[in-house]
This record gives sequence, C-alpha cells and structure tokens, in this order.
Amino acid sequence: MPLAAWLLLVVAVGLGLTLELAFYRARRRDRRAVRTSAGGGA
Amino acid sequence: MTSATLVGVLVGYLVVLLVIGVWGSRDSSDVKGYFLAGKRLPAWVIAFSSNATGESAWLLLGLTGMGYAVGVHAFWVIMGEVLGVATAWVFVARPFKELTDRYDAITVPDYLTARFRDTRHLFRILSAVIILSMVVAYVAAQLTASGKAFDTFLHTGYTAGAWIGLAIVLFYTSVGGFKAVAYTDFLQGVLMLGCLVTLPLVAIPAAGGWAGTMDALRAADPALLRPMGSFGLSMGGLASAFGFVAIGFAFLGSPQLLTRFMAARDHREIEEGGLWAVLCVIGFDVGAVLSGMAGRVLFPGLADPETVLPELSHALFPAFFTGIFLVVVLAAIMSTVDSLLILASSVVVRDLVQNVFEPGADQRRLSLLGKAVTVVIGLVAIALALSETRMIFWFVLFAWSGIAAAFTPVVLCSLFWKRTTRAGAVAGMVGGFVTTIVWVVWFKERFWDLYEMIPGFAAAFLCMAVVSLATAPEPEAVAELEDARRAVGRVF
Repeated sequence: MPLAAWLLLVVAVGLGLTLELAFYRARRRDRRAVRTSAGGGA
Repeated sequence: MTSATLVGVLVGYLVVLLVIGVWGSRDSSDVKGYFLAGKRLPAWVIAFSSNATGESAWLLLGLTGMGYAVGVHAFWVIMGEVLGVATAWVFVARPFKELTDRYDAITVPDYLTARFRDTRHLFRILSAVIILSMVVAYVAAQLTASGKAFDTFLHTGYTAGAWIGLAIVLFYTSVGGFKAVAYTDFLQGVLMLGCLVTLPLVAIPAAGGWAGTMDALRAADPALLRPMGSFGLSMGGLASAFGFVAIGFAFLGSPQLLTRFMAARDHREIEEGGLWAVLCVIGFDVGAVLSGMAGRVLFPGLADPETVLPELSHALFPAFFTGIFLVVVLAAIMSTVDSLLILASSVVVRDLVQNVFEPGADQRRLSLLGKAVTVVIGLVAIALALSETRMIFWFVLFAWSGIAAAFTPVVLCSLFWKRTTRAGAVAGMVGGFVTTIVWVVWFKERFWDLYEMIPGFAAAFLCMAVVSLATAPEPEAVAELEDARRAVGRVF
C-alpha cells in the first residue's frame, strides 16, 4: 500500500484513539488523586 | 453448504435473543424501566450497544461495499467514525448524563424540554415529527438489507427476506424493552466485531497476501490505492473525503446513541466505556474496509458491491461459519432496528401521549401503545422497502443525517454554549432537518455530491446562533448548566 494510504490509515485510527487514551489516563489520575487524599485524611 | 446448517445456526441465535428478551422484560414494567433499563447499564454494555446501534447493516454490507468500490478512499470514513465516537465519549457523555439525571429525563426531547424550560411542548412535537419520519426511512433501509442478506445466504427472494427480518425484529423488540435491546445489542456488537476482525485475516491471504492484494488492486484500478480515490485532489475529492468524515459527526448527538449515556449506571461507567467503544469502532471499520478491498480482488465485477460480504463468507468459510455470518448481518440489522423502534416508541408514548395528550394515562395502556407504534412503523417501513430497492449505504446515510442534523448541533450547544435559547434551539432543529432534505432533493448533485450532513449541521448552527443572539436565555437554565459543568469537572 502506498505511503500516503498508510498515513491516512494511521491518522484515521490515531486521532480518536489518542483523544480517548488521554481522557482515560486523566480520569485514572484523578481517581488516584482522590483515593490518595482520602487515605491521607484518614 | 447446506441450508439446514444455516437455519440451525439462525434458530440457535434467535433462541438466545428470545431468552434475553424474556429476561429483560422483567424490568420493563414502568416507563423508565422500559425505555432506559432503569438507568443501570454497565460500561461494556453501553459501549458495545451504542456502536452496534450506530453502525447497523450499513457497516457489514455498505462499508464493505465501499471498500470494494473505492478502496483506501474509504479510510476517511474510519477517521470520521473513530473521531466521532471518541469525541462523544470524552466531551459529550458526562455533561449530558449529569444534566439528564438532574432533570430525570427519559428521552432526548425530555432533556431539551427541561433544559430550555419549554412549557408549550415545542421540542416534543418537533422531535416526534423528525424522529418518526427518519426512523421509517432508516428501518426501511435495514429491511432492504435484510431482504438482500436472506436472499444471498438462503435464496429466499428479496421480499420474503425483508418480511422475515421484520417479523423477527418486531417479535423480539416488543418482548423485552430497552434492557433487552441493550444486552442483545451488546451480544450483536461482539458478534459483529468477531466477524469483522476474522474476515480480513482470512480474505487477504486468500487474495494473495497483503502484497498480492495491493498489487491486484493497483492492476485493477490505481485509484483504489489513492487516499483521494478517482477524484484526485479536486473539489469533488475534497467534498467526498469531508463527506465521509462527516458520517462520524452523528455520534456526537443522535438520540438513539445519547440514550445509552442516559442509561449508564453512573459517570464511572462512561469513563470506562469510552475506551471499549473506540477500540470496538476501530475493529469494525478497519475490518470492513479491508474485507471489501480483499473482496475486490477475489470477486471482481460484482453487480452489487454490497453483496461482497456474503460472497466472501460463501467462498472462504464452511457452512457453519456462513451461518454465523448470516447471523452477524442480522445482528447488525436488528441491533439498529430495535433501538430505532424503541426510540420511535418513546417519542410517541413518553413525549406525546404521557406529556402532551394524556398525562394521566396508566402504565399498562402506555406499554401497549408503545408496542402498537413499533408494529405500525415496521409495516410502513417494509412498504417503503418493498416499493423500491435502494442502495443501503446512501439510504441509511440520508436518515442518519436527518436525525443527526436536527439533534446534534442543538444538543452540543445546549451543553457547551450557555447563550443558547429556547427559540434558538427550535430554529436550529428546524434549520438542520429542513436543510438536509432540501440539499438532497435540489442541491446535492450540483455541488460535488457533498454529503447532506455538512450543510445540515452548518444551517443548524447558523440558525441557532442568529436566533439565540437575538433572544434572551433563561437565567435559571444558565445557572443550572454552569453548575452541572462544574460538577462534571475538567476533561483532561
């Protein structure tokens, strides 16, 4: 498959996947922070 | 290949659906249970069920046909859908869930009515007109797919195939309500994913391996391996690519998909469901396009490219798996039709009868009415499907666009632009819906076949902005929106 077609496929899959992974990681980080602060308070 | 094997697999699948339907019916005794499964769905169910609903037979027959017809140009569809699904789960789902929980909304018109303090039921009536008309077109396209699938797999003839599809869906939808719809959609989504991941893994080696497939495609037509297809870098090519990307915009606010967010147990389920949904749609779309491309090499010159998936399954798999592929095509059809029928039923029962015409109606009467609505819509849709056999791909995209252009811009502005007013939202819904139809009827052919969702969205946003800026928003509604968005918190 030509390079241009590979690039299109990678961008097509990568844009949305990167957005979702960034969101997922941010939510996990927030949940960890909440757990840590709750543990610290106890 | 024996028809007995195919029928055996089909009957086994239908028994599973029936069991799920009966199981789901136990929780559908009230309106919230029937239309939203009591708002208790877990992440994996809402993820797969929203994708299975959004994709329909278009994915298996239409998008594989697209890969067959235009090759890598169909990758633009993948971009639009993956981005659309991700954006919906990341940005739309949580604020929408927060507000609908606060309003105790069961339908999207319920939400719009509460969000814009609509005491005259404008949103309910408008939504009913739009949803009912588009659902008929959408279901008709799915029944067309059913007719083609049964005819290709079991040689039933197109008419009998469409009737069989309708009978199965009507029977099973009326048994179980939204809970059964969501869990059967989950099962159907898993089957679709399994099929679309397996198919190219078998079809590409059969077509000569990766390099052999690409060489054969280049020899057949070099445009099949170009991102801009046969159009090249021209206005027609850009319009086509942008139109394919725009297919994914509908994931941001179509009511049949938003109901999944409303039915989620809580925010945590939404946060976890997004990743499942994105991975699932990647598997769906990449698998479908690559299967179509391999099919072009194995079966050049098909009269109807949308039959490439049945052709591949006949040629490459033993009878039992051919039966599985028939089940998967039916799963795609049913997972969309059941959700659309529940959606249409909800606007009639919840939005029109319960809230406008007969507020005191008892639950049993409403439940019976809901089932009657599903039967009537099914019959109207099959009359349309039998009167003219259309291409599934473009007919589905028209209905998909009509619903999306009416609701998505309004839902987005209602969540993210506090200046949106009731009059602006009504203008946006009408503008988006009417523009979609007018564009298809009068303008599309003259403007590079630009997909109707793009002018539909543009008109909706424009109408909404102009009218909203000329009118004043409800201060209470603005304060509520700000509070809800604070409660949801930041995105990243």
